[in-house]
Amino acid sequence: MEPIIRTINLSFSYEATKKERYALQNVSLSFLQGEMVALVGPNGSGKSTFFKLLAGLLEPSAGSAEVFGKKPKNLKEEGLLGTKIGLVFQNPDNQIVAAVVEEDVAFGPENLNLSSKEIRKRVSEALKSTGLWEYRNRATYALSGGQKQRLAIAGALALKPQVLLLDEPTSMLDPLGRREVFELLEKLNRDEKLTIIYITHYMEEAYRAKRLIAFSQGQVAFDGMPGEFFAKKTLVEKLHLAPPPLYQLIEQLRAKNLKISDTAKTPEMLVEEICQLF
Amino acid sequence: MSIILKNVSFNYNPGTALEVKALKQINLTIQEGEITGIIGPTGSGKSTLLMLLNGLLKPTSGEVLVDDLSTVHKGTLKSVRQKVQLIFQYPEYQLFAETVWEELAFGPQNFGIELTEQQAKSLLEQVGLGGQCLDSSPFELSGGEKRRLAIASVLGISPKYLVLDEPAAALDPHGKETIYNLLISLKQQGVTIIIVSHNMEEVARLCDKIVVLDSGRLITYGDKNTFFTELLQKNVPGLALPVYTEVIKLLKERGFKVSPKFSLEETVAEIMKVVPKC
Repeated sequence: MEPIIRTINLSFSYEATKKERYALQNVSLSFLQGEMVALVGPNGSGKSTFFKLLAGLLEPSAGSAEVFGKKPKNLKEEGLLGTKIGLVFQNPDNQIVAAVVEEDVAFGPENLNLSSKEIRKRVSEALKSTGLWEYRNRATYALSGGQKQRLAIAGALALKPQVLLLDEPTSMLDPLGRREVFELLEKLNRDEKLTIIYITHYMEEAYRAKRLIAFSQGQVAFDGMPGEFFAKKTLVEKLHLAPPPLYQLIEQLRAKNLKISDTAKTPEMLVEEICQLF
Repeated sequence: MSIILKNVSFNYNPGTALEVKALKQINLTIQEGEITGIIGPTGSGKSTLLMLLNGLLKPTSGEVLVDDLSTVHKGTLKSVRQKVQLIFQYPEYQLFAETVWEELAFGPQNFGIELTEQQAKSLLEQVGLGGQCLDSSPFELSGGEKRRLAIASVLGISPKYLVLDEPAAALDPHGKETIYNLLISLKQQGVTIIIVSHNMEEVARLCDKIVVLDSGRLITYGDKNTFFTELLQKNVPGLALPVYTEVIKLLKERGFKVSPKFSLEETVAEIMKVVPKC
């Protein structure tokens, strides 16, 4: 399968004159259609810079990025970026433009000059897949944090992107809001085969990805299965991260000779596996 | 002698169209020498409650007593504030002095306490910062170090009560751990601690007593063990179970005879009791 996103020796420095201080250095990564990937790493390790380069918000200092065979900058100039890559940021309040839920979702497609029939269709689809259909006539300010973030995702989905890039989409939400948004991402990946790449500081969310990429000082320090990553104790500690409680529990149970697989990603799945032991 | 809230209500913008009833008839006695955790969904009144504890907000009705001193009377307010130190969310944003030394000396000065260099060094050691950074700028410290400096800067006043809003939020796992250890050691020195947190693992690990707020009402106050045991039976809006408790709950639903545990080791032991030896 051809990668849909590919970077080759991608580098970026925020200080154009001081090339030695790279925020991102020689990052070569490929992403396939349908992947669910978590990006982790300490603050300042280059995760957000990587996203901004993919979205054409920054231009590489060296190396290159290709999104669906084109440079992000060119995609952006052709006005096609949003239809390929949807972007969602940390603070939902900064991403909502309209006073009413359905109007906010319609904002993107309206700017694509689509027929009103097509706009209606896309808005309803996006609202339904994010579970916001019943809220379509609500005022956006009166939504909860989790709902607002789902609305931001709906706005991105209405442009029918093939990839969703999310920069700490759950970090400003309370535990239930976080769960609501994360489960939506898993559903979009599973049911609609949407490629999802997200930055997170919550290791339980990172553990639930199919692939984990860890950044450290602008470089890729790990790229592989989340379970393998958390088993690398020295590396995890060096990056100032810690395995999520569920993984720690699984590890301890394995130490007691229980056969628990790496696919036990939630308490439900772990309990299911424990019951299989009988 | 402790902090007592008697029938406390608090309204923002009372008597206007924008009136919001943030707290409704709260009765609560904070136990000395313990860590009390205040939890509840976003908008439930947690931060408002914190600000009432040192008189930053005055109750609309009812009263708050700190060691029998009212937070309403001007004459006692200064002693109240010396006893109850409030640390906001992201306190590192409040650092302002040119050196760590000046930062540490400022708070105590306001209460007429002249900090000696020796005392300043021991405060830094207490929060795990080491005395040699006295002359450096607070802004040269890392995020987690700044947070610890902000906490050290109120410890010079020797507060009897320490109130913290999300003390570990947005820190990486390593940074969180240092804050937890600091709070536990302060408790051992006899400081009464009150925290607001969204992180149930954190609450389960640190707190002795739990206060649950929902829409401005106090819906639960009690011992941690009792609270989490009850949480297995009923859902409290906006609250997610800690992962270990969730696993136990699911096992229980499958008919296993297990009781809730809060630490990793205890949970492993509990599971091993019911799992057949493989």
